[in-house]
Amino acid sequence: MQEFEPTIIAFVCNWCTYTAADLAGTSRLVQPPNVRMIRMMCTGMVDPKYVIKALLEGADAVLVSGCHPGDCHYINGNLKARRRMKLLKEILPRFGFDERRLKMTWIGASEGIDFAQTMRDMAQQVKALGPNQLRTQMVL
Amino acid sequence: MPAYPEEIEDALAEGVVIHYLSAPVRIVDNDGKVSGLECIRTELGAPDSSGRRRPVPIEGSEFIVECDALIPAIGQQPEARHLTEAGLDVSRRNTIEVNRHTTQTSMPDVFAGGDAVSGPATVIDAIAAGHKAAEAIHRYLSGENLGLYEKELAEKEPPGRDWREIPEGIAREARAGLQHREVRESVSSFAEVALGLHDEKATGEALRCLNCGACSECMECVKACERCAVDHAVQEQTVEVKVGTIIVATGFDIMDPSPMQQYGYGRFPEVYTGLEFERLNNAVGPTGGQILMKNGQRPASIGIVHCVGSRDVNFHEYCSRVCCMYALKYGHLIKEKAGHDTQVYNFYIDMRCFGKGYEEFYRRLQEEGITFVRGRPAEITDEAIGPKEEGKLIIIGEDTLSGRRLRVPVDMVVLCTAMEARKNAPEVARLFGISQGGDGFFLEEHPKLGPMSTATDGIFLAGSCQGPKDIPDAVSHAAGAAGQALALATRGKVEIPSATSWIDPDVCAGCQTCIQLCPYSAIEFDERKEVSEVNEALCKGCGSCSGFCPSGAARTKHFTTKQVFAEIEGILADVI
Repeated sequence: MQEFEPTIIAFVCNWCTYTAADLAGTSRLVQPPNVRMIRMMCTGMVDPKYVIKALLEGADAVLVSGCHPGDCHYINGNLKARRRMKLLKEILPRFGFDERRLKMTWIGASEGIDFAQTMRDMAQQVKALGPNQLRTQMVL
Repeated sequence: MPAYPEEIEDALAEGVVIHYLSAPVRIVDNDGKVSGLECIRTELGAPDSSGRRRPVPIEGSEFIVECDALIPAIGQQPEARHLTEAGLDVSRRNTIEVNRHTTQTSMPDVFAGGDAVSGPATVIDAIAAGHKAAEAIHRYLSGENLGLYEKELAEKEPPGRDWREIPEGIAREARAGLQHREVRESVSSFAEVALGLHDEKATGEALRCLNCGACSECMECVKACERCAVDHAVQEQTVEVKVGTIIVATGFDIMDPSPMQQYGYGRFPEVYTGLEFERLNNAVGPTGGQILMKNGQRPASIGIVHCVGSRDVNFHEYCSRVCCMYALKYGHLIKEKAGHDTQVYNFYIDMRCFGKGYEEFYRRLQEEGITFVRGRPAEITDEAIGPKEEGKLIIIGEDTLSGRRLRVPVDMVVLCTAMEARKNAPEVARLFGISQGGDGFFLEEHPKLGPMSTATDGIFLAGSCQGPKDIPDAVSHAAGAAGQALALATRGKVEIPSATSWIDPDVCAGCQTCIQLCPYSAIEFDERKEVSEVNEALCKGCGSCSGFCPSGAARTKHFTTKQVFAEIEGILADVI
């Protein structure tokens, strides 16, 4: 059987993590191909239903990544996101998802190396976690 | 005996005998000449009302101290009789009663100061009293109300209490002891006994000063500054300037090479940084522009070490960009100023002569007879092997082109230290809402297309705060930044992003949660329609409202739920 390759959806902030991803790319840092990014203007606009939607659509994990606390381009959107994600983690099991399938990180615009490392770590962790149940059961 | 301990010690050393607890009774004479002093021993009696134990004579303990001369050293007190006769109020201790603040006596026309008021005190106290009295007398004669002046003085804060805080971690150092004349000499002459401090001790003593008084406003610096650049009247003030654009041009720091112990900066006096050598070279520098060593001699050979802290994974990975060229300039100046027989050795990794006319300059320097060694030196030492190296600094390294190990004895070493981001760059970055790159320098919007602008609209970068630059580069960078800043400022209006939020009035339930969430106060509640409304001129499109809206009425344009869902479905289309 082919080795399981997870699909990770990353909601990334336009001002930091998205730029860091760009930097990681232009710096030619090696990163796994498992991550698919959706650019948001701020992690503060990530509606919890986007995360659930992504998981329901079959993503194996969701990453929400924004600016370091205090560095938000929109003053404090990242802190609002942190609260929302914390609460969302509490209710994810009721949807049948392991709470480890949602992760939130802070990656600044200049931290391309950090970004690539986070992607590698996350791909590794999700690989260990196994595929999203939805993918094996095919029931919606 | 109220004397300083060292005074008593000195007296004893000179052979003075001190009789404690003795009181003089009478002078013994022999034919009208002094022959001795009769004293009586005393003991300390019970404390009196002031708590002091008065000496009480011991009956029958009289003794005679034989002597040829007698010097009475008795106390003093003011002669007050004529003062009382004149009508002045006098205290119990025979001193003149005065107003503490104005020094006015009981007779309005008479002011008093000095020992006659305070009792025995120092010259300084007396002079201070004189100053005080002079001021009060002037006011009195000018017809001012001294009562008001007194009140003013009484309310004035005592001076000299706002000392600077003493930093922690300062080791205690003993006061330098005074040098004294030998006892043998001092007993037989009237020459000054205390000899003061030697140069070294005196400067050492001055260095103990923690400068806790900070500036005492002696104004000597005002006199010394030929450019009249010192103004003591200037006070810190906060000025609010309304601007449309800001150019950040905060520059760089020079790396301190002391952590690179192998190069001996700070240990060997003849190891300089590039900037220090520049100063040595300068016509208004300490040597008037002559290239001299600290001992005043002309150096016969100079080593220039490139890439100190630059292109080094342990310090800064980047190239500092300017060092190759200024090292070449130094080589040229050394040949010109210190003489063409001066040996100049450049230790480089790569010569990076990238600019217009730079490569030609490099070639010219090679023709001037400057030696170039490819290889970063391993060490600079003063441990000589052989007579040629005696008293010199030896640069140990390898010529990687010929593969030979080298020991190059030189008189002086110049370290081309790295340019680095300023220590306070993180604070400045936070202040202006801009980011720093991995190397610490401020991050430009785009490395190729936006080298002067930043991620924050209206903030521009100029010069070495963005990365190491030589002068022509910094000038063009700054001119570009100024042009961009002006282009933005003179237009008088800015375009706002299209991605603002919008609240659907048909869906909004009027819960007003979004009003609390909006960091820009861009949402207001319309009482009549009972819905929240976004002010698009204020909205920055962060989506704080749309990310939370319980009814889904708040939407950020281009990031609506429908659009994001479609995006999710699209990128996950192949997954299930």
